[in-house]
Formats: sequence, C-alpha cells, structure tokens
Amino acid sequence: MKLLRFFAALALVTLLHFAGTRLLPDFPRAIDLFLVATVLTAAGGGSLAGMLGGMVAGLTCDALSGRLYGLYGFTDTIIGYGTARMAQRLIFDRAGVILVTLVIATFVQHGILTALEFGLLERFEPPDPLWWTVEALANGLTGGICFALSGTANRAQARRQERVEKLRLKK
Amino acid sequence: MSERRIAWLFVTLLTVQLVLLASRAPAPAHASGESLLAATGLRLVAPLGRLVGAVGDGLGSVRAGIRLRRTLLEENRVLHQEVERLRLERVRLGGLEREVEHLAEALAEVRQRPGELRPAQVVYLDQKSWLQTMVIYSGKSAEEDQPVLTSTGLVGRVVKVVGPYARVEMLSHPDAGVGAMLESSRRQGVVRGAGGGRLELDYISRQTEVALGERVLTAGIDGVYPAGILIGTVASVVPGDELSHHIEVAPAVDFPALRQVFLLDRPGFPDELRPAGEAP
Repeated sequence: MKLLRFFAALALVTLLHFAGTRLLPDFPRAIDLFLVATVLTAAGGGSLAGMLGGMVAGLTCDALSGRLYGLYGFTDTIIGYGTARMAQRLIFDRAGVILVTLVIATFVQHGILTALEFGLLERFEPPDPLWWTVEALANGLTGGICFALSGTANRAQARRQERVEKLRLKK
Repeated sequence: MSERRIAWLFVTLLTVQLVLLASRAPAPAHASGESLLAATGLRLVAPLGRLVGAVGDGLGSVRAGIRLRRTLLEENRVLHQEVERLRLERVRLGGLEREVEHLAEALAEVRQRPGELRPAQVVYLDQKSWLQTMVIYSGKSAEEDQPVLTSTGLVGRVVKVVGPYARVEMLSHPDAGVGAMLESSRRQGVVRGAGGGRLELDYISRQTEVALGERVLTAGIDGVYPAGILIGTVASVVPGDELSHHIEVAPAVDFPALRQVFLLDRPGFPDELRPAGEAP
C-alpha cells in the first residue's frame, strides 16, 4: 500500500512538474518537486524507503534532465538515505524542520551534482547563486506546506475517529 | 531489515550507480549508445508531458472560445489599422525593392533546403539544465542526427529516438557544434553552445571584418545540417587569441518560447563518406 502511494505521489509530482513547466518556463529551475518528494518520503518512512524512494525519484528526474542519466538518481539516493537516518535521531514533527531540511538538501544536491559533473565529465558549471537560493527556499516552503497539510489531515482524521468512538460508547 | 544491512545496501547501491555513471561518462548522454534505463525512463515520463500539454491546450482553447466573441470586433479594428499601415509601409519600401532582389540573388545559393519539413510538438523543454535539450513528439519516428528547425532558424538535432518521441540536443548545449559561415564574408567557422542559451562562433580569423548584427548561417560542411539555415546574428566581437576573434552569437530562435518545431526529412549522410571511426 505504501509502495502504491509512493508511485501515485511520484506520478502526481511528474504531472505537476510538466504543468508547472508549461505555465512558467522557469519552473524547473525554481523548484525541484522530485527532491521534495524524496525528503518527505524519507522523513516519514524508514531508511530503506528513503534510499529507494530517493533513487526512483532521482531517476525520474534524470529522464527529464539533459544531464548524464543517473546523476540525480545517485544524488537523491544519498539525500533520501541521509534524511531518513536523520529522522531516526531527530523528531520531524514540525513543518519548520522539514523546511530547513529541504533547504540544506537542495544545497547538498547541487553540491554533489556539480562535483560529479566535474569528476566524471570534467565540466565545471556551478549553479547560479540566485536560482540556487530561490530553489532552496521554494523547495523548503513547498515541503513545509505539504508536511503541515498532511499533519492537519491526520489530526482531523484522529478527531473524527475519537468522536465516532465516543458516540459508540454513549450507545 | 536491520539498519546495518540497509547501510551496506546503501553503500552497494551508491557504488553500483557510480560505476555505471563512470562507465557512461566518456560517451556523453546524448550519444547513440544511451542506456536502456534512460530510454525506459523517457518512454515512461514523456507521455505524461504530452497529457499535460493536451489538457493545457484543451483548457486554453475553451478559454479562447469564450473570449473570442468579445475580442473579435476589437481585433478586426486593429487589423484594419494594420492593413493601412502596411500599405503605407509598402510604398515606403518600394525604393528598396531592387536592393532586396539583389540580396535575394546572392542568398539563393544558401536558401536551398533539400528535403521535406515535418511538424513536431515540443513536449518538454529542459529549462533545468539551462536549455540544453528538449523532448518532441512527431507522430512518426524521427531519426538520429535529423536537423530540427523553426521558421526563424535552427534549433538543433535529434540525439535520441524512443518511438514517436525524440530528444533534441539544442544548439545551446555545451557539446553542440555546427559548421557555420558569416553571411557577408562567407568565412566559415564553428558555432558552439556556450550554456545558458548563448552561442559562440569560433575559428574566424582576426583578419576577417565582422559586423555587429551580421547573420550567421549553417555552412553545410558538418554532414548534419544543410547549408543556409539561419543560426543567429553577431552580438559581440572581441579579440580572442592571436589567430581568431571571440564572437558571441545571439540565437535566431527564442529557445524558451518553443512550442512547435519542424524535423527536416532528407537523405542521410552516406556512411561510406564518413571519416574512419566516426559514428553515423
């Protein structure tokens, strides 16, 4: 069930990526929804889910990127696993924590991508600092909002269940 | 699974990915030997892009239909004004007609474009890596190395074909290169992608006079692009090394605004004539 939910989320992210690109040509430069999906999956699941989720999301992003196929897959695997391990030690219960994690993850992602391209292709193209910052903030905010919304939904469901149980007890 | 095992799996997974990346690194991602994994990824993801495009177009046409009635009269009025303005313009340009004919004769040679143009829809434009590649849907299968152009100029060439979809390496890709010539001096050089949607023209000797705004056309010497297709105009000229200019070319095509392109169907370059060791 979790696996199905992950692939549904990934399909939704891909559709949003396409729709965003169509509406706003700079959309893929301003936000990386695949990274957001990776971090949210890793923050909520175990390290295996984070690692594999990151790899699949990264490879999907690779299919759309003009870069060497597998660069995003490699990078997002590291980020997915790293986030999941962090989530086992820290408490990821606030949107702010997710925001900070995604900002750091964005910087780490571009750092690894630049280093890999330099190491493998001898091509040094550091990202534009402005777009880098915009992307980090946009990723963080999007992740934080998604996390907060999912938390609200979970709390609403818990309240509903509580009410149903009270009604049963009254009867 | 225990955390220790997962950690080992993580290290193994990273090592395998790194080895695969390193093994493919010397052959760039656009080369014909692209992996099955990359082709599968493109095959899975590209239809979603087409779906979004179709939905977007559908919504756009519905909205346009609603607005049409309101804007029709206004548009008609504007068009009438435009016709009047063009009539006056035609009178003004009458004196230039002979000069244009003269230039047209000079350009007749480079205007020949053998082959048929086939429309293709842009499914995905890779803005993330600064306009290096795009994915197009052409209905019929395209061919690798097939030139891609628009009515305004050259876009690039097909580097990967997956069914009706094709990945196009745009001129602005750092690995892209086109045999080019300056329109007035006919001096030949090579246009390369300089990243970020910019182009550079190399190998033009410093003895050559290069004017700002001069048109840069394909030279037809690289076995991929036919001669005479507009690449762009000279945007800046600065002295490069001792031998050649450093010329920046403004692309004729507005890469970020591409929605539809044309594939040039023409006979391929015979393999027998390729230099030994060069891939077709």
